[in-house]
Amino acid sequence: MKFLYFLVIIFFTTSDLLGQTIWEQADSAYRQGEKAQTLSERQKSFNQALNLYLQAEEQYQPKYGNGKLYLNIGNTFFQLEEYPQAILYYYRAQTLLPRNRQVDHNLNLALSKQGVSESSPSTGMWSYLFFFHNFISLPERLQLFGILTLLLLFGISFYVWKRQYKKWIYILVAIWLLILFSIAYSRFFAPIEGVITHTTLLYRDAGREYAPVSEKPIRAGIKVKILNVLDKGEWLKVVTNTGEVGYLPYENLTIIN
Amino acid sequence: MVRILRLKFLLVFFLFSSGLAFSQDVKVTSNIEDEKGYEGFPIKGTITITHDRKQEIDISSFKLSGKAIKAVKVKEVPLSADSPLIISIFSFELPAQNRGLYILPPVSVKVGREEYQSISSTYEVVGSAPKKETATVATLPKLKLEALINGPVTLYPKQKTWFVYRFYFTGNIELTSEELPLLEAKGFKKVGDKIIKDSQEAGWAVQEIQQQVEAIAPGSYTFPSAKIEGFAYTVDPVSKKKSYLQPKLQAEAPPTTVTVVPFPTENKPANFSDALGQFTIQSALVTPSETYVESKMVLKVDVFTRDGTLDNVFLPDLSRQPGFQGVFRMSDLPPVGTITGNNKSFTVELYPLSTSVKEIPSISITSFDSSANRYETVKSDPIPIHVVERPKESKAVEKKEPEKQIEEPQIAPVPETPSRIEIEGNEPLNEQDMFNKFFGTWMALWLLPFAITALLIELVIWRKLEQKKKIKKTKSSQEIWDEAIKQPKGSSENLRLLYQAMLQRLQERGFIQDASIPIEQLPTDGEAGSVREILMRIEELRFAGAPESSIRQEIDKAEALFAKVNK
Repeated sequence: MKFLYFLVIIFFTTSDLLGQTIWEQADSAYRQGEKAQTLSERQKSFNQALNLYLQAEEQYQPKYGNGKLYLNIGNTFFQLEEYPQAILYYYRAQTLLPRNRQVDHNLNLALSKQGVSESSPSTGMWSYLFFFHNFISLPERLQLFGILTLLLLFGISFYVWKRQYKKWIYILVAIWLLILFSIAYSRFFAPIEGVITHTTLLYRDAGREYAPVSEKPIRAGIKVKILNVLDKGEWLKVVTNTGEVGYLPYENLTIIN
Repeated sequence: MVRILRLKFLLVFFLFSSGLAFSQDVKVTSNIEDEKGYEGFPIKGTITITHDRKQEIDISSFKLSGKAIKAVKVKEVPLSADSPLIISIFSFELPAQNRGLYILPPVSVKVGREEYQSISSTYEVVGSAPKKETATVATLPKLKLEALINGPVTLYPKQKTWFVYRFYFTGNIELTSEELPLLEAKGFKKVGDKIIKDSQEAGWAVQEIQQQVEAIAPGSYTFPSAKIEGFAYTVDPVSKKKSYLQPKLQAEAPPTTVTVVPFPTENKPANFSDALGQFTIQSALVTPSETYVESKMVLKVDVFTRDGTLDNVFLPDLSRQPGFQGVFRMSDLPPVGTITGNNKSFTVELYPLSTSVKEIPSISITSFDSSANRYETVKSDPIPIHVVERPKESKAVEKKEPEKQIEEPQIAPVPETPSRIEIEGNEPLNEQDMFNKFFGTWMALWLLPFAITALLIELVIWRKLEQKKKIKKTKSSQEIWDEAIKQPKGSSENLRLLYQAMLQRLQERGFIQDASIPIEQLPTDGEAGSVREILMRIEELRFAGAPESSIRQEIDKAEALFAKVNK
């Protein structure tokens, strides 16, 4: 009996270890890295955690998720002092966690480590009209759109049968339209942004034979807006936060979303 | 008195006339032989002096435009046997002149004691060629133009070649116009300045102009014909003036086509960076192979080629290469190569991150071999290294085993203990964090057509129901009649319902269109006419104040008629 009990304990313990998911393993490796006593141990643990987080990202691709995976990946890159990659993932997390202060804090820290200033917030008519873009992520707006659509369906149905609450329906339609335009803006008009992951020169045209826009290269970690794609995606036309327009090879930039 | 004056006048006149007559005996003329000279040759002239044989000519006194000229006596010819006058003929020479019309100025000479001069005359200097100034075929200067490509005619992007023009000419030629499209090299990038060379070849003077170009984009580039025009000329050795010869010389070279083909897409490696040619790659450690964790190691990578182009040879991003990522820390800036002859060198700084690192992996570069028409990847050999933990400060250990000390580059020592963590710890993840939010993707937009469809279906259903209700709302004539008979006979409500039932019945049977028309507007014939008659009768009795029994009688008739209309 005792032997059987022992076997059961071993089985469940082993199955628990074997059943550890990839993100749990990554979290575990990350915690080991935080507790490491030597630099090499820390590097090793964080590298392991990074590999596992990246595998999870590739496998699940939660681009419309809650952003926590991207935050964790950003933190791991930060621990490995790979600040440009950390900045990229913090920006990704920021689009999905716009109200999360930890993301903002970590992003600012990574930018200062990299010696890069933060991009100034966009101004213009759209930024005033869609002021809530900074507070509600795209997945949340899509969820809100779905809920409002269903509410509107029920509301209009109710009005058709009962002829009541007309005013509330108008208000609901107005909010629904605003959310719809906001989603349309995000889909069709919002600029595509990327982060420079490798320090590079900005060229005057698509090709290394052209003169650089400035003698100073663009540091990795800077966020830029992509204006055009040329040569089947080999070269990108971008504008930096200082207003410089130029071209750079695609391999030196990673799109945020 | 008058007579004396007359005599004096006559005397003066006589003397003047005598003098004049006497002076008329000396006559000087000068002219150029045949009034013509030849370009490049001295011009011969003649001075003829008619004078009295007693008057001597001062040979040294000949002057032309105030300048002394040398005149040689040719002969003397008496004018006649009895005449004292003779003609002395002298010859002179002028230096060679260019072609053109000239004026021979007056020639002055002393004859006796008096100086006499001739009058001006004109002459022409012509060329040694025929009058129309065209050269003979044998001596005509020639001009020829040749266009050629020195190097490959079919290129790949960033491959170089030479565009060349050769001017062949004999004699002196001055070009007045040039159209040399190859030297403009539209569609290509010019490399360096034009190179001009002069040479001689089989009796021709040759000037070669060449321009190195680099292909940019795939395509077929046709450069139109090249043309040059100009004139041959000679130079006057004396005045150094150029004399241009006719006709105008022209030369033309046919159009030239250069093709730039794209690199083949099949089997094109992802890390291909347009390097063209055959290459070899070698890597070597500059720093010792034994090192500490996080110490700098310097790797030198050399890429050689015999005939390839090194400009487009770049090292791949080592931070993304297997064996480097997560194992070495590298500089953020990509290594910039330096070209020396046929070699391009790169210097890479690496920092091994742990003791488990055993080697620096191979580094590969990919190029396109145009002769074999395929992509080639060459790799350097891996370099074994030995990485150890940075030892703690222990002087006793060092003294005991001095031979194990490793030479360390002069950099700041890496601290053994890691620095404090500056950011909050990671939040543990769960399964929900791995997936997209419910309705948080673009699939949520499918709700819109679903909702519209649902609403449309609902509206259709609602309309149909409303129509049914409308139909039900309109009561049948029988229902109205049944309500009417429930009312006391003869009462106003009874009569109202009766009228309504009758009219509704007529409408139901199709005798009238609208049941709400006044009784007077009912047709006067047929069933409708009968109904009209009865209803009018009831109305008359009512307004006439007839007894109720009369009204009831009429109502009974109406009942019978109602039933009749039903059939």
